[in-house]
Amino acid sequence: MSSDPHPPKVSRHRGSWGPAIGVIILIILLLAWLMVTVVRGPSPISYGNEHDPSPTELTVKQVNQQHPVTISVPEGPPKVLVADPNGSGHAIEVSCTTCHATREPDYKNVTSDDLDEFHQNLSMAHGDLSCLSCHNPKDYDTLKKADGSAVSYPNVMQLCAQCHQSRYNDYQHGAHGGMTGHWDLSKGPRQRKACIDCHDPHSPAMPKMLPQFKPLDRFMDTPHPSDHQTEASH
Amino acid sequence: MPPEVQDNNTQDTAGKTVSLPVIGHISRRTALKAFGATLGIAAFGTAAKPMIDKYASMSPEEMLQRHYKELDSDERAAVINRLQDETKAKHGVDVTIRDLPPLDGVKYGYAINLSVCNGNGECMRACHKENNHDRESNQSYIRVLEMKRGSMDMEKGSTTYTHPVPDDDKFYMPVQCQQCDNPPCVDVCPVEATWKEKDGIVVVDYNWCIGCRYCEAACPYHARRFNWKAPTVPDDQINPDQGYLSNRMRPAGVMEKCTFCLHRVRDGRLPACLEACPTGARVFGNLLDPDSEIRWVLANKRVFMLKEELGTQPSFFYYFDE
Repeated sequence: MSSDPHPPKVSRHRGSWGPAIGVIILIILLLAWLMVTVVRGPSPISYGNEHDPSPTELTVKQVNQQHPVTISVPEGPPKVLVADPNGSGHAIEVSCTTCHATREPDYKNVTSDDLDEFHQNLSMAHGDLSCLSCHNPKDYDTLKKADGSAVSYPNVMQLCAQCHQSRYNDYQHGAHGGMTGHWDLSKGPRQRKACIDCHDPHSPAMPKMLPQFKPLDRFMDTPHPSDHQTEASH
Repeated sequence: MPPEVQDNNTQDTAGKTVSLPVIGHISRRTALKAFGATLGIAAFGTAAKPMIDKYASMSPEEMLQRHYKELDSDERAAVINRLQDETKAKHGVDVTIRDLPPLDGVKYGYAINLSVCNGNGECMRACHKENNHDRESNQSYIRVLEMKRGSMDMEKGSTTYTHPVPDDDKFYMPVQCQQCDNPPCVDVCPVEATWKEKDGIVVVDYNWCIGCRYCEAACPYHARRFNWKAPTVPDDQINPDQGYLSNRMRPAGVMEKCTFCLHRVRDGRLPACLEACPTGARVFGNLLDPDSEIRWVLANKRVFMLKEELGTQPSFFYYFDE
């Protein structure tokens, strides 16, 4: 049985009409292409605008598709745990500005080792960056880009993208980053991970992992050490 | 009647000296032949056991069922009802077996970013659960190969590593069915129990497969699996979202393979292995859609195909970032 259900049909009778029909078909195709290009526009995907969009604008929208692609974003600035749960069982968390509003920013602090109090156990391994490379000394409840402009915590991916542009480009085209849901957005939505879901911004390299699942497979096994001698005689 | 046994070094009626025991008038050669034949039959019996198991547990309807492609829609519905009832009777679980047709204008493609994959193997586990694989053998349609950097020979890869990953000198390459456009496994099937669907997925009719394993031998990617016995899955772990051509409960003695989670992708959903990947190394989509993610990868990344020189024309691609 042939694997191709629709073998190409070749006309056996090409007369003098052949070239004329070909030209007409070409014109029709060209017109169709022009119409599609104009209607659809150059880029069907928009990932928010350049100027710090609101979190809802980070939702990726695609033309002619009913279901959205949503990216998980942090709700807002993080809270810092300043004391163990008190007598009533509630942890005491404060926002960044609670402390930093009354403290002068110190640009000499590069890692958590330089600090006398708070943020002591933070492991910092992100190139040559220091705290104030990304945290905004004018408003600690926001982050800042390299040009000094503020970025809200929910839009942290814009901060990542200014250095990791090629990776962000891959991400925008679905070639980087985990996702769940639907490949076909006409049938259902898709959820995508954000940068900091997988990469700790203070130490972004993926940690080593221990393989947890191994099929008991008879093929492709590593030979036992004792087999190495016999291997040479093969 | 007990056979007459003569001792060593006695003389028979013809006057010849016999050096070994002879049973009656049967010569040693004949006895050895009989012994060999018995061994052979025993070996054949063992080898044929999956087949015997398969047909011993078969209902008359199943025995008489025609090829998937020859069934009309009513007959397919009846077959699916029978299979659902069988699972209910055997496992006490209500499952839904769907027979989703290929989508128009869709041909599936899959790509893996080998710069990102770290060999953690969660894709294998997700496949194991999603496709109702045999729990005892930890069966999965995916093998993650640990490969030496600089090598592209999958035959030298290792699947048995247990150390923390990634190893600095290694890279990791998950291999599953490549959904070839020129599939050797389909060519060799003597009964046409496996074929390529319009959307590119190579499927198996588990009720038509005779379990000869030719396809397993033909596949250069070692992507096919054989059920030496009926897969055992605890009743409460059975995935009830099933497809006739994909993850429904399989009998003993049939071949099976990755279908890109046909029961999911023909519903528009992503394959289970992609959703489970903790590193986000997998890209899936429609090769016929120029705006799809998979097409962007093919156009913008350094992409290679596994054993491309064999001319199998895979729909499965690998790429590196840098």
